[in-house]
Amino acid sequence: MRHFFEKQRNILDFTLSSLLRRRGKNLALVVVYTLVVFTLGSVMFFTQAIKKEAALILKETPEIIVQRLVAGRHELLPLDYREKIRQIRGVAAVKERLWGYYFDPVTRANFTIMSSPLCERGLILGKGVSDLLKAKSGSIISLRNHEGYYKHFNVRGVFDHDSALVSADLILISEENFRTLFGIPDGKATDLVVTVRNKKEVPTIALKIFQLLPDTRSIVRDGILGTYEAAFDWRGGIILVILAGAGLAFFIFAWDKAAGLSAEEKREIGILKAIGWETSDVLQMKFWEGLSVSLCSFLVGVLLAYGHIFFSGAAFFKPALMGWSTLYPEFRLTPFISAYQIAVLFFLTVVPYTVATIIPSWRAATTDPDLIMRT
Amino acid sequence: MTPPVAQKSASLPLSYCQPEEGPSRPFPGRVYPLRKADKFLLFILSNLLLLALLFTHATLRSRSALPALQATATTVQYLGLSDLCLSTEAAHTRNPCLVDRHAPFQSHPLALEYFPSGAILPPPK
Repeated sequence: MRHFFEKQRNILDFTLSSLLRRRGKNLALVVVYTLVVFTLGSVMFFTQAIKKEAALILKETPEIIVQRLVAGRHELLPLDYREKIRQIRGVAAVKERLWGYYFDPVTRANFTIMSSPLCERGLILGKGVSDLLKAKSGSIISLRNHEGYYKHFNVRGVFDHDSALVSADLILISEENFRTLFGIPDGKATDLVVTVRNKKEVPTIALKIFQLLPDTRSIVRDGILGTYEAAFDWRGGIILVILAGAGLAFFIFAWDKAAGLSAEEKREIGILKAIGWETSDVLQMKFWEGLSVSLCSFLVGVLLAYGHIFFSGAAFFKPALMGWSTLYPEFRLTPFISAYQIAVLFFLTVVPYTVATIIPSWRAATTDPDLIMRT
Repeated sequence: MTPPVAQKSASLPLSYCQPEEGPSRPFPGRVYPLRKADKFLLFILSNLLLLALLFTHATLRSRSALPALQATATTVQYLGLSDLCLSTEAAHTRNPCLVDRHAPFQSHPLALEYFPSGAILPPPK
């Protein structure tokens, strides 16, 4: 056994010396390979963390949200719908919601304004709004109403940083002030939140609401959770583009290796065979070569990806999510990672590359050394 | 007396170059530089150690974050919120669960989606 390990150490020594002789080429290979693993790992960590966090936070989202549609667009609904829905058997409660978007021309930011009984007087601000407007508890801020006049409000409180993932752009306001600000008449609401007695009846009640009020649509909790599950699925949006790009880069690596060896590498194998190396020794050397390149790249890539997502707040994905908005929620994702994720990444990157390195070497190693050195 | 120079075996890798028995480093008192293989294995081991530390960090962080996530879920329940605040540039990426499927394209006839966050948050299925 000791002899075996000593032999492997010697082969590894030789392999590393051989790699260092072609320092530039191999360094470039390791850097690009690391970037591929970093990209794949970042996407994997980011999507998994968002999906898990969404599932934990949105498990208490409304069971059914009822919206009214007019000409295919979301419209305010009359409050008598509330009474009609309340009559449906199995409905425990129906509550109206008043919410909307407010564009602040000074900061050029979009806020979400929502009425809440918590704010009979004044406002409660999300952390993002508070930071952007430099307003804290006790400050006075002005909002422009639908007639173009500014109305002044006292800030009564600020949401803490922990809830930024749902409340960063939120402004809570009283119902009366909300109606005055946006000119929404009494008897109208943005949408309705329905609570049901038996959760199994949610789809049935959603269907009954649609039959009773055909100009409405119902959004159920499972649909909301499913949206985030699908949005951060590998098949969706830019994630597919990133994965496709990284996959293609990796394919080029593997293809380059599997397509054949360079003349210099073939000559090296020929010389080694000529001085007494056996085919199995050459294959072991090539195995160590593939493993050292891919393992280094894999480990460094995974570590960098973790730092990128969970220490730097996904800095490279931020510009795409932020887009043109001036208010960007500063949230730190909770690192929900598993050994399964790392194993998948390992088998997707290290194993194919290592195997692709061995196959052409086996072909060269089984050929007559004299023939290899002459070609 | 100067010790004999140890045979340089970096380019002669196999066990054929090593004695079958006896120490591969014949002068125990002498400080030998680390072999390339040992440096490489140390590098891999330190990376594996860092990976293990990250797992520990992830476990501790996710455990300590659970109360805060639970508190956020209570806020969601109390206010009746339906979406995560991942982007604020457009209504259809701020509230992807609540908007119409055609929302990104309704600026004008034949309008295309042009918000950068629309590339990350596709329409609900």
